[in-house]
Amino acid sequence: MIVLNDIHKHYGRVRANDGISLTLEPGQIYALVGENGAGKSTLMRVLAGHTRPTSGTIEIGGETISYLTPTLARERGVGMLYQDPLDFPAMPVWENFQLGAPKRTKQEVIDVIGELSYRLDACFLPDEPVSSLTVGERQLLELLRLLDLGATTLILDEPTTGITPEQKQDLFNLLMKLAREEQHTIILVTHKLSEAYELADSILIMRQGALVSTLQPPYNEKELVTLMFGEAAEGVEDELPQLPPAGPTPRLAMNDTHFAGPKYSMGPMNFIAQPGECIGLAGLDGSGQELFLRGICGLDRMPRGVMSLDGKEYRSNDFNTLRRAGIQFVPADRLEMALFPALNLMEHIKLAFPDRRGDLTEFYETQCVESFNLRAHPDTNASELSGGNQQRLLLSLIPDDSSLLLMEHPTRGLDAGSARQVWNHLKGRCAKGASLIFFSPDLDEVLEHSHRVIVFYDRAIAGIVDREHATMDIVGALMAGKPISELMETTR
Amino acid sequence: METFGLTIAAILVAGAPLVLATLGETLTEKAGIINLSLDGSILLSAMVAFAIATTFDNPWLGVLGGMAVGATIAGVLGLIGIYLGQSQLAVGFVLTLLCRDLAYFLGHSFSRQPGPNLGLWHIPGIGEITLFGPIFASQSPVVYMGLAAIFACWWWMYRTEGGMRLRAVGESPRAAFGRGIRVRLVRLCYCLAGGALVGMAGAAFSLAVKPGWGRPQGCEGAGWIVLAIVIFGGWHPVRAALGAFFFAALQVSGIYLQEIFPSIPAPVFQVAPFPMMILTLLAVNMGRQGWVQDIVRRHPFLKKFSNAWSIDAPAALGQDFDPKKGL
Repeated sequence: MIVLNDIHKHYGRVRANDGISLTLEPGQIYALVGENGAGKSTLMRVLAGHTRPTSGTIEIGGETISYLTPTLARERGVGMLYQDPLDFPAMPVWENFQLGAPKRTKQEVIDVIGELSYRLDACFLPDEPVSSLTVGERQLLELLRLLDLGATTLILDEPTTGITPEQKQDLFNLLMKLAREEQHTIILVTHKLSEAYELADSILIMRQGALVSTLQPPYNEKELVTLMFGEAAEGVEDELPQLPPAGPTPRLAMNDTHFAGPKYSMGPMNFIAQPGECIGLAGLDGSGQELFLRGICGLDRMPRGVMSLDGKEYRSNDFNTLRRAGIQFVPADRLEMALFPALNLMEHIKLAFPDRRGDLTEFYETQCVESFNLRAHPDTNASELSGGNQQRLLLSLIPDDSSLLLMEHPTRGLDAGSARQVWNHLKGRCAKGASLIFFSPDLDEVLEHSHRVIVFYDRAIAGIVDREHATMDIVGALMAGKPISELMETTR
Repeated sequence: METFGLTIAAILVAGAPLVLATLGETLTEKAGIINLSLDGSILLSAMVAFAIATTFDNPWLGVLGGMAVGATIAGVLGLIGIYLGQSQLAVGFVLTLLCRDLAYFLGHSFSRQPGPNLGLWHIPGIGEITLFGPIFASQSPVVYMGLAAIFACWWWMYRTEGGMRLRAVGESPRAAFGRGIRVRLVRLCYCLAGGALVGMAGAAFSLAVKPGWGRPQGCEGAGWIVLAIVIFGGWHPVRAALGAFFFAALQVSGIYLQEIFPSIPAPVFQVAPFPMMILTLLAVNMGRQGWVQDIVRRHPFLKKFSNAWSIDAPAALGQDFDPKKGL
């Protein structure tokens, strides 16, 4: 049994955890839910010994201590699985597995990996570098490693991002088995309520650094949502705008186009997008959707093929030419790739709209504050903005006449209210005739906001599915590599 | 054949200190720390090694002294860079300038003085073997030290648990911390070990390759070229050592070419190795160019070569890590 007692964790003035007390029983599955920034991950890092709490005590195995270290947590059987796997991409599988474990020979390590993966129906090549695995495989490897170290308390931080529905089911079955048969304590950190319903014996709800409630089944969805989001849950999400009838010139037409990135190349691809269309890209991490977006905007090379934009042909994809033609790319890594952390908001506006001279305060008011609800002083540096405000700033910097928006995970790290606002804005742009192509590791988000879904598998387009056929089953199966011809037969 | 063997022997001698320093810096950088103090370190340890060897009339004591100096300088960099979180680049750069001036100032009384050196090791009975004989029958001990260090570094880095931890902290200190590895301590250890090898390189200069002390000593600039060779070697000890020998070969061949082409001014041959290194770096890293990748994709059999070319810096090179801030 683990008891957390009055845990506080403060980062400067931010109280990530504000007096949390919690008891975890063996053999139970807990779901820790809450919005982004509610303090879930911080609390779990404290439990895994990766962060020292500002104050509070942890009672573990009958002993009360003020903080854990990674070594101590391992000895007490606590293991944590991160959303972005905390591993060594450049190093081979067996070394990743062995690092941090008691000394043994390479052959012994390989045998253990083989045995564990046989039990879990997985397969790992011990000498392959971890960078060649998918995120799902990397997480599974981490899970095997923790089990091998004798972890009896497993913390899984958003383990279902970036894996197929089928893999998710396997993982859930495994977790269920570990809890029921081997009396492990499982804590599932998630922002998806459906996963919590499916698996948890009790749901712990966090909001603004505090544990607001613990619920047992049967769960009442309305109560849960209100507890999680508070008032922000009340809000209207716009419908996906009706697609106008296809005109004579498509927005984007790709004719036997090849794209080549630093790691792999794709092609030939043929694809047409209409004005006003929202197109979602689905696929496991590294299946090709990243290169697809980066190729269209000119960040990766186009060695062969033709791309036409509003009827104008382009034989090479120069980033600046395409940008002037109306293509805008919004990366997932906003602070690293799209904003200047040390520049303030006004400087961003000046850089984005170089044609405007003189005092831009008024323009800032209309562009950012009124239309985007960006409540920050123009002197604020971009690095001080919350994720939601960063995305608002980025969207406000995109000129109104942009015709094709390419977005990587538009709502990454945003709370529910901000996410809804971002989608309402994007749909508004589509209703005015702009086209949107986006991807998200959250399959629900892709299905909800797309007129069509392009599914990628093994660095190629596996299928293009219309909205009426785009269900979790079909898209999930395509992501896992089932051929589209087979799937369409069974639906008919 | 005899001349060829002697040329190889000359390259091995000229390359030995470069190899030692290159391996030292490779170890340090593999752990994620950039030690820019190399050039000054080599000079100061060369001076100290010579001074100790002269004073105690024992060149091997000099080698130990040089290693201690190298490790001390690296230790200063490590403490300030790792534990106090200051810029490794700035500290290393300042240390380079400081150590160089310190070496000339403190070593003044040993300037142009006769002193002991490491001499040659004679291995009986192999002199008659073709090619092998002229190279190894009577060779400087620093060559054996360099060759042994190549093997030892490779074996340690890729065949031991400790080497695995070394690569882990350079690759992702956060993940290493999460596995219970004491990241800053490991980094400091390799900083010291790397510094000791750099100090050994300094001793190899003043006690074997360019015996004696003076201003200039003759090893000035070696530290900078070593920093380049580490990158050239893709942070792999064997490749880095080959790079160091290659550079030495360019320097040695300059001497021979000068005799063959007396009409070309001598400085051309002295300077030529540097642009040659840049050209070689370009050729070696050609696999990263887009158009080369396209060709490789069209002809998969080329993939083996392009994989061998691919080199990446340790992912966390130069990043500091503070476990108190947590993950």
